[in-house]
Amino acid sequence: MEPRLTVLKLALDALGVPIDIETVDDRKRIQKAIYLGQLGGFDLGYRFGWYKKGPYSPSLTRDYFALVHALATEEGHEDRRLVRSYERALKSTAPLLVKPANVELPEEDWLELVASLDYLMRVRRLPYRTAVRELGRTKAALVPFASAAHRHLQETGFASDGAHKAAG
Amino acid sequence: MAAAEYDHKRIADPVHGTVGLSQAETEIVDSSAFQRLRAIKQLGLAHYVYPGADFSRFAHSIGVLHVTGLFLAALERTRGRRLAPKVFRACRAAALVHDLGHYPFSHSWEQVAENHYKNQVLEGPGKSTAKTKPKIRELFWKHERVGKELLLRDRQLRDILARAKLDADELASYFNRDEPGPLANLVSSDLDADRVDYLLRTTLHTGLPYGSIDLPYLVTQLRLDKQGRVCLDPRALRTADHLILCRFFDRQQVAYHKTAVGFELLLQDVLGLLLRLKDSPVATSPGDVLRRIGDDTWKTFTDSYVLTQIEELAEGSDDELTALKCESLLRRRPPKLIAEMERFASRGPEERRRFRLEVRASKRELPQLEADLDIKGRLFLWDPQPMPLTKVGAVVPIAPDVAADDDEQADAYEQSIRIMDRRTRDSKPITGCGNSLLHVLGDQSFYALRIYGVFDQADSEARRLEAYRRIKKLLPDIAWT
Repeated sequence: MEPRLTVLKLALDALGVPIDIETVDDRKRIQKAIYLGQLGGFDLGYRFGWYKKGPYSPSLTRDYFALVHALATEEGHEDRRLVRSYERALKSTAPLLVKPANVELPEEDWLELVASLDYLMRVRRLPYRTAVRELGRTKAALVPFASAAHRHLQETGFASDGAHKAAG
Repeated sequence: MAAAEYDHKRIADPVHGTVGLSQAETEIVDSSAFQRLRAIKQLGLAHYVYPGADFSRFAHSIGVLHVTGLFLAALERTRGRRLAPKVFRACRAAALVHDLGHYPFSHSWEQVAENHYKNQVLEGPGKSTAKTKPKIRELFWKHERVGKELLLRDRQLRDILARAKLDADELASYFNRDEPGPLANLVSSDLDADRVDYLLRTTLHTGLPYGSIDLPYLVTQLRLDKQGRVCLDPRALRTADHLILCRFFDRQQVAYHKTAVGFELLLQDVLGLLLRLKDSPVATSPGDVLRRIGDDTWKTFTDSYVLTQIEELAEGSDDELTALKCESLLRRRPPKLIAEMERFASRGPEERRRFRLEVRASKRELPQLEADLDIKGRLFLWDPQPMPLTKVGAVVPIAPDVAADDDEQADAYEQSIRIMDRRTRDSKPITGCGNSLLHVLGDQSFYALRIYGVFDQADSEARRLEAYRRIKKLLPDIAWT
């Protein structure tokens, strides 16, 4: 398998995200998980823009379709692994992907919310309140959980006023 | 637009005639980073097949600027009011610089180098032999990112943009589709200036008629729908059908040409060898790119620079196969097409699954075939992703809200050629129009598989035939020709 696809596969493995692209929610989960995964400092090279469902990378879309094709057509990729420091960088973001028990949202919606809030504050540099207003324009159903998402970003150490680099 | 502003300098172009430039555009064209594009061929090694197809990204970029200008002026006419001059300038400038960051041999390089640098963070079989890990954590930049870095860091360009009050991030957002607004589609979509110029220029230089799209008519039929999206008047439906078919035939005859693909595979193989050299002279990690921009050697990092390195690799290599591959590339000795499979079929999951099984079987058997024939490292499998004619199929969401459930579908939906409904002033993708040829063909994909071999001149035909017989035997379920 091409190394760029192997790296994507191993990154998703490290983040605990299944390589499943059948449904819209499956693909959304991958998009948002990789966006958040890159906050750990290992930049896989995917650039995200602001789309209707928040940060979205067309090149990641191309790659996960190619990855699924490669997994179905190639053998012998099982014994490769990421260099430890890169894997650690990805895994450091794993807590960010875990939905708090008291948040009653489907997992992929939670990821959309956290990634969107982070994008608006980190890349667009909006203050929290303005970011929430922006969320309200396209994702009104998620707004009631915005403060939980903000708290989650802060508690896991990935709030955009921290030391982590921009992913957008 | 103020016509005089874009008449600061005039360039004679074989595709579009006279192209007018503003002062800022002229300064960008005169910059070292832009002049470098003269030495990056638009079509890579296609001139090995079509002798005239050696035009550069320099000429193409000026063409894209011109077509963007035509589109913008047409939109102003259809809106009945001017676009803000700032928007007009930014959109044209983005079109002009959209290819600025291309590496030598463009997409071939990008594919090989991305794999090379990503391999450095993998352990296990086939792991990188590099002693040092990349110093910064970004492994590789695609050309769009390099283009953005050039706009931000190249001293000459930075000064030009500052004088012209053009923002590098804004320009980059057009070709990166960062936050694509309606005008971004003029630079990047099914109906963008990039594709239009590419098709017309390729037609002129290859001598093939397939990209002869009707640009003057298209321009007169550009509209904005009620949501501000770029679309076409229904009168241009045939022209739009034709444009998409042009693109398909162009790809079939140029990019997918059997000899062009053979050279492409060989080039990628050799570029990989060059990148794996100790202290590679063609290193392009982000750090190397920044160094080249900083010390101004980016301007000499061109196709011919890489060909010189391949020449040196051929001369300095003790490995017979490496020398053979380099020589084949430099002396135009194409890899032999041993076997191929091509078909049109549904773009649906069943056909995709069937194709995957064929690819899987081919990949599994290839090493055995190389071992049986004692030709290790000489066979290439070409298994491009199935190629649909349009970004979205014939079954398109009726309402934009449905598409909006999925950014990927929404992006494809937004980038499709759209046809306006005169009554509602809304628009929909061409594949959703029952009277469009693409409504039928949009559900089809082109599937292809090819196996090539690099052989010594003397016994190449005998080797090819032997390999073909074995392939037919090893993979009997694939309709090889």
